[in-house]
Amino acid sequence: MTQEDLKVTLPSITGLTAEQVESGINAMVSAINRFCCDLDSVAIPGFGTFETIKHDEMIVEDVPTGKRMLLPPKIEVVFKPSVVLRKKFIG
Amino acid sequence: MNRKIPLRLLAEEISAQAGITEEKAAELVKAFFKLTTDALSEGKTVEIDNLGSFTTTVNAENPVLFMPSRQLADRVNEQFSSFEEIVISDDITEADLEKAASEDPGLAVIEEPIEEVAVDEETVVGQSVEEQPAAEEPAAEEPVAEEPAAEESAAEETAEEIVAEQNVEELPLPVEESQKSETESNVPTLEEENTTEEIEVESADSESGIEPAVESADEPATEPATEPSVEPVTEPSVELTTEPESVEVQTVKEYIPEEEEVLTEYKRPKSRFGIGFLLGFITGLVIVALALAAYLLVFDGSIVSLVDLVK
Repeated sequence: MTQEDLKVTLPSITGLTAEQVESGINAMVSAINRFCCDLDSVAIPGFGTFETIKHDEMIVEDVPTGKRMLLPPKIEVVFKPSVVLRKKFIG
Repeated sequence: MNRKIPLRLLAEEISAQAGITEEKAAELVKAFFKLTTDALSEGKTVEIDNLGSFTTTVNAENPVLFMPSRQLADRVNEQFSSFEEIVISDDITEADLEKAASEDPGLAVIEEPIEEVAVDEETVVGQSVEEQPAAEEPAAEEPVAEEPAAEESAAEETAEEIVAEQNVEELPLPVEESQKSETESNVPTLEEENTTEEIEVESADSESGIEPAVESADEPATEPATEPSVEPVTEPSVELTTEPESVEVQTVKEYIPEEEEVLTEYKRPKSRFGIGFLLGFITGLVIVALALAAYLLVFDGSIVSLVDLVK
């Protein structure tokens, strides 16, 4: 399922026009992007939370070659499903 | 930073950008993720542009797996885009990395490998000698200044210094000691203050005719003097180079009490099981005694008969 499929279904549910739905989804995605860039977490009720985890620079070793690498810091975006969503899938 | 954005704030952002009311924006977000949940429950994979894809897994802890899109990952890590992976040379030990981290916990870990990987060992030694503070160099020269004081002429001085340098080079000295030997040869300007005075003393001695006495006294001492000349060069240099480390150790010690404060032992309260058991046992005995007395009082005749029997 893609974003285009959702855009087709959403106007009938929300009562918005297709253009409003498209601009609303784009605004939502850009807002989530911006909040994640600020290392904030975005909570969606009944679905889950988009969180960011910052990893400091680290030294890793390639076991076969024995070479050591210094990796730069990194920010990772993770999704934690809510309890409602987890129970729905676990059953 | 590190805020938790609720749906209300997200709806405000959407309404400001998309030109719809906050209620409609909140409704749109809920409907969007409701459809996503329904699609996931049917086993489908949902892909959202510029955000990522959601897939279902068999993991009970995390049944929904989110893979952020390349655009989101790049945008979040935009501030670290100038950094690259660096291959650390095999010559650098973990002790060097720890030392560099203790000197500058923010940047030294990154900067040290870059310099030492790109440059050979000799050039690294040269750079480090130049970077050393000037206070270390005169201290390394003090023992050297003692050598010419016991020698006769400049030719013998140079010959013995060469022998001493050869001994220094032959010995398996650490890098710091070899750096000090190089500082003697590379930085003669700082030696001038000490050596000029010593040359004056030597010239005065040669003029006054004390040469034979000096020869007789110093000839046996010159040969072993080369060996001690190595030791004084190394020992003070090591002490001086360790001075900044000792300062850093003091800064590290400041963190130890903080950890000790956190690790306070939990003292369990003393159990009162024994006292409770004793009180319960006594209470039980009293109840049994009262019950027996009541039983006997109910049957008056039996009490009387017992009394009569006693009498």
